[in-house]
Amino acid sequence: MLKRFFDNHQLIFLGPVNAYITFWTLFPLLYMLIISLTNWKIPNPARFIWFGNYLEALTDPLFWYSVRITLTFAFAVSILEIGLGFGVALLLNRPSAVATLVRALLIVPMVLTPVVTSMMWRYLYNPSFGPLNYVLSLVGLGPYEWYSRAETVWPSLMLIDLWQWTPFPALLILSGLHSLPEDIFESAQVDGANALQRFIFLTVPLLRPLLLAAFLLRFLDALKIFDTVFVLTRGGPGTMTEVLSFHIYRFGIGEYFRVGYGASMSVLVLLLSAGLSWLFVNLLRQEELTHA
Amino acid sequence: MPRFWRKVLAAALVNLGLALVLLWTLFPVFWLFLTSIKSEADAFVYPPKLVFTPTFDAYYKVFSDETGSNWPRFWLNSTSVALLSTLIALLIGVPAAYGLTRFQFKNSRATLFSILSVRFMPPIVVVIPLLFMMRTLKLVDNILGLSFIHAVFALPFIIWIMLGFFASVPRDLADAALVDGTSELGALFRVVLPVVRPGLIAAALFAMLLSWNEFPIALVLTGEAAKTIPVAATTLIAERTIHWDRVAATGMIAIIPTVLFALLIQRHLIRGLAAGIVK
Repeated sequence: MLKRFFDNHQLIFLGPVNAYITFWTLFPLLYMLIISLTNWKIPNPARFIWFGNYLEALTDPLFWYSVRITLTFAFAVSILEIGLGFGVALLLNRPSAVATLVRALLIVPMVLTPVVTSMMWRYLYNPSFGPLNYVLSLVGLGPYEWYSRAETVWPSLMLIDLWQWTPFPALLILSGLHSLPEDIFESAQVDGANALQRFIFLTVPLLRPLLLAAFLLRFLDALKIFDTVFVLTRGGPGTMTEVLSFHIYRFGIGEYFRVGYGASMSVLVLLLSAGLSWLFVNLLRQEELTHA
Repeated sequence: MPRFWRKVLAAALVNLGLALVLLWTLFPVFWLFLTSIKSEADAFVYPPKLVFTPTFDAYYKVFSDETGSNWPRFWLNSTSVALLSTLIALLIGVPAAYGLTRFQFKNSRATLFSILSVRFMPPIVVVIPLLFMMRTLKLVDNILGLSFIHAVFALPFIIWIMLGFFASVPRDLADAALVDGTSELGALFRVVLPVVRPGLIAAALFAMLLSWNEFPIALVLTGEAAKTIPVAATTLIAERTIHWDRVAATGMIAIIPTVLFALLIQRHLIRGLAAGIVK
């Protein structure tokens, strides 16, 4: 009996991970589904109101605004990061001592604690003694109140994300450039294709799966934006930068303690992110890029 | 233009571009460092000072109790949670990754998909039910409780990093150990793991990095007792006057280990971040 147990490889090797993930995500999610049907608000007792919370969220303009700005933010930063990253990768593609140094240092922003990155930028952006306004004042611009003004708050938040995450697509694309088959490029050159033509008709199409993967990874990660908003704007000015994670946090446990309502929005956001992940895995499977 | 000069010009432009990239990447961190060694008064001067008398006052303050908060404890908390969550995730994730590379299971794909879903799940989404679940389990504001959750989010990365390493180990190695009478699990621990030690180190450092940097879950699940550094750091900017020298010093100490780790696992870092993609 015991021998049979230890011979079941699936149970031994995958059992723990499946049990662990089930316990810490599936149970909470089921529990969340239940509270999302109640009007639970701390410290009041909870009563079932069925789909009242969902109805409220789906008819609340702020919720839809939040969905829209979160998707727009994620889309904008991932596209910009892929574009800029491609440029940086091309700069790094020719081997040199400088390129090696830059490549090593490019990983620094990605590993920094996001809360620290946000605080660091908050200081750089400071309207009264930040260096950014000082540098701009030298050429006669500013001063700007970067993250507290409607006109500049989105660029300010996006800039932080670009600073921290452009290195990721840059390094990913660089490794893709290294793995391109050289003979195709040589024969194209023999056939008279110039550098620009080789780039547009060979490099980009060959890297297409990698670019797609980099975009999807960045997009799904950027959707989680929370730390930057928490440190810099707290959703402000007004509710202008109240992205989904922060919206759920504020209504659920950060400010109003409407646990039931927060849970219902969590369910909706989970469905959104699960749908996007499913799409992601399927796209990658078509490109034969994933095991899953 | 003659060929030679065109080449020189191209090289000069590439290097200029790289110099700009370098400046852009390092300037914010450099400024953080400068601020951390300024006196409180110098941190508030306009125009910003580049020449000043350096001082380590701010570092002293963020390690002592005089600010009214228990900073030594928060540093210890962050370290403990990083180590504990990594240990848990390695114990569960490494055998899983090995099993997935060595056997063709019925539900391999389902397992991989559920692991990937965790990778893309916004943490804030599960944090509300987790808070109440943890309350039932008496694990709110508890280092072990937070470690359990950080381990969940480290698992996808550990598994994906290890998949790559296990795939490069020849099957015969474990097969030979099986002939000698060990079990599959025994073969993994005695024969295969020593071969993939670099992978284990990379996976472990990656998981520690994730836990050390994590904010939203720690924010909701901890109070004073198990508070981690990112959460404690945000209390510094919630005060009416922000002591920027202290903020900068805290930031510097928080990021020094992350940069060291990153330089150690440079090559595997991108692979880990790209978890889900196999090349």
